Amino acid sequence: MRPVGTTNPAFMNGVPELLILRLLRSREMYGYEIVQAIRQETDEVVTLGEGVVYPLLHALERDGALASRRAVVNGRSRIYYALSPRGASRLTELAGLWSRLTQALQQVMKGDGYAEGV
Amino acid sequence: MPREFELLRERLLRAGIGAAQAGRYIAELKDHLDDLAAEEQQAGWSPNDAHARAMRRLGYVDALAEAMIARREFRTWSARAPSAVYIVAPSLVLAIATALWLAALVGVCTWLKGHAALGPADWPERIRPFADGAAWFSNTTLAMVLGWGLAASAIRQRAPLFWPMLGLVVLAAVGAAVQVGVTLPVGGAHGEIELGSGPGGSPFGFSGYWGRFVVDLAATATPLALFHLWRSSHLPPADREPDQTS
Repeated sequence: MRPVGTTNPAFMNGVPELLILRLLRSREMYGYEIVQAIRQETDEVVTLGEGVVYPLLHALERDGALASRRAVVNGRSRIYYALSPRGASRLTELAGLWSRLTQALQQVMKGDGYAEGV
Repeated sequence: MPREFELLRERLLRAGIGAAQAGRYIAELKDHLDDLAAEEQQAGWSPNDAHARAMRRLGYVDALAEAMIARREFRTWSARAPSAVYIVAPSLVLAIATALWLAALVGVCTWLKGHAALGPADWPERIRPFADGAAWFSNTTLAMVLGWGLAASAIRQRAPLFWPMLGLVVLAAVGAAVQVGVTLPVGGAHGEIELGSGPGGSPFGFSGYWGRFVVDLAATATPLALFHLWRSSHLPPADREPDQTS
């Protein structure tokens, strides 16, 4: 299956933020882990640009949705990101929005009322 | 990928991204590249091929730079409002620093005057070295130190030359114009703070207003101009992508 992000980037608007917040709800991760986790959890339907995830992480941290800490693991310094209480609220809000949006889209896609009306 | 990272750093700085922000981004990208290369090697690729594949997956300089530059919240104030940062702020800091040390001097004088045990004729002499030193520093060195700070900030941020240079001219003009004189209250007389302003003295001599202006400007603008000359010949141009085919 082709990744959504490469076939139609417009569909990706807001999706990376939602996925990152959701993944970090369970445990803290560093950038490489986050990108790999998104790929695996979505069966490679959603793939983020490996490098361009960092500006989003930095922006979320700046907004207070994420907290970061530097840790040395196996001799390498890493920056781990974790969900903050503010990020948890944002995740709840985004997840609700996403749920309503997908329900509405499903309703439109399976119904044929509009076509009949035209 | 050192050259690509160097190029990326230059591009981010010139676009107004803060130096610390750019440094952190690049450090994380380097770690990410190492992880990707290790993953590719585990998949059976040779070290060279693994590195090339990792680079392709990480993204090229254009995409990596654009992802950060598109976020305006990471732009520094010197990029958002250069006239405020390079023109207004240094002169404001100069005025505030001058006002602060004068206020401290008045405070010390007032406090000492209230302690009669020191003797009314004795106490001004005790603070004369402090008062004279502060006046000398304020009149001759403070504007130059602020100018060096401004130049260092502009160099670190790879700022275009126009605003920092104009800022140094304004700072040298203000620094040379604002001169402070202090007369301590000796022998029961009142003390005085004299604040002189405006150009005076010979336009071609190295004393008085013009002398200070020229010396301050030369001392602060020369390092900035030299760095720009060096950068144009030693650092890669930030508007050209290196070879992406490897």
